[in-house]
Formats: sequence, C-alpha cells, structure tokens
Amino acid sequence: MRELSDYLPSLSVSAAVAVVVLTIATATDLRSQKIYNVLTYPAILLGLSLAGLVSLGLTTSGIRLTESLLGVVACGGVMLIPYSHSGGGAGDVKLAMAIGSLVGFDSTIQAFCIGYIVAALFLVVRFIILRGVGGLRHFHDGFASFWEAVGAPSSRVGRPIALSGFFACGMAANLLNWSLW
Amino acid sequence: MTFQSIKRQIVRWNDDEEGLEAVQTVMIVAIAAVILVAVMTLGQEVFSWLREKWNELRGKSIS
Repeated sequence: MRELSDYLPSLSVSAAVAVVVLTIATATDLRSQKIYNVLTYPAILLGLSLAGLVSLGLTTSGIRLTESLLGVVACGGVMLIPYSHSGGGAGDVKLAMAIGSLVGFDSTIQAFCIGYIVAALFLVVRFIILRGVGGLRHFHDGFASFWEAVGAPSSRVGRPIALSGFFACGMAANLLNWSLW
Repeated sequence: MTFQSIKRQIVRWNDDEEGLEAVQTVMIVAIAAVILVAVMTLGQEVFSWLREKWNELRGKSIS
C-alpha cells in the first residue's frame, strides 16, 4: 500500500509557506471577505528573501530570485486584468503576487487555473441547488439566460464569492504533482 | 495621467483588501483557463505533429 509521502514531493520551505499563506487567506476571506495586507506583503518579501538565499547558494530548496521576481510581476499582471475589468477585490491580486513570489509563475498560474475551474463548477452546482429543477430552465433557454441569472449580484446565485479556498485547492493539487500541462 | 492620479490609484489599490470576486468574472476566467489548458496540452501535440510532417515534406538533402 502506498503512503502519503509517495504522492507528496519533498516540500520546499517556500512551498510550505505558500500553503500556510493560502490557509490563512482562506480563513480570513471566508470570515470577513478580506485578504489582509498584513499577510500578503510580508509573504511577498519572504518569498523574495527565500529565493535570494537560493540564488546566493545558501540553500538548494526552492526557486531562484529571477523566477520569484517573475512570479510577482507576471502573476500580479495576470490577476490585474480581471481586477481592473470587474472591479473585484485587490486582495486576490496581492495573494497571487505572494504565491508567485514563493513558488514561481508556472506553479501559481496552474494553481489559480485549477482554482477558477473548480470555483466555476461550484457556481454551476450552487445555481442548480438554489434554483432547483425550475432553475434548469435557464440552461434550456440558452447561455444568455443563464448569464443574466448569475449576473444579478442582488440574487443569491449572483452573490460574489471568496476565491482563496479554491486557490488553496489548486495549490494542493499542484503540490500533489497534478500538473495541467 | 498626472502624478496625483497615479498616486491615488496606488493608494486605493493598497487600501483595497477585499477578497470577493464577481460570479461572472469567475465564469469568464474559468473559460479562459480551460482554453489555456487546451492550448498548452493540445497545442504541443499539434506543434510536434506539424514539425514532423514538415520534416517529411522537406525530405533529406541529396546534394
């Protein structure tokens, strides 16, 4: 029988910090719908510092400083697109920058892709549960009708959601070597 | 864009700690993520297939 350690790769310090950051962000996001700067800014600095140690050759576990810097800039840039267009929270952008600095661009984008896909599936299931069988008529009426129904922020199905937990799911899948590409 | 407006934007961004995302945004980004995954997985196969066929078409140099 296989042990859990067979599935888990040797976790670097920065990846472990990323897990802790995502766990705290999930808790605060679910509790108060906020991802605090007190969490994200120090996490970015810690990620860059750990990557600096790797670049200096003081440790081999983790990503290099260039990858970390690319993670901060690129992940922040990618997350700025939905932020600037939808007027959503900047907490998610700063969280992406923090995770990007800790595990690098590729791992973060994969984790966030998984997070968004799982969140979308959750929303569809929530839509069906809240609207019941009658709600399914929106699917029969076509995508535009469904779109209109989920786009009403005042309704229960259109209420904005906290995404940190879904990003944590994506990160967990990534750490279990479940790669999207 | 003046320096003042840039400063105001940065301050507003810094003060915004909200972690909520609109449902429609989540759906749009999820669709984009699925397309990205498809491009990254299928795209590599398509690219290698095209390269293989291109090499077949070119053949070997006889000169």
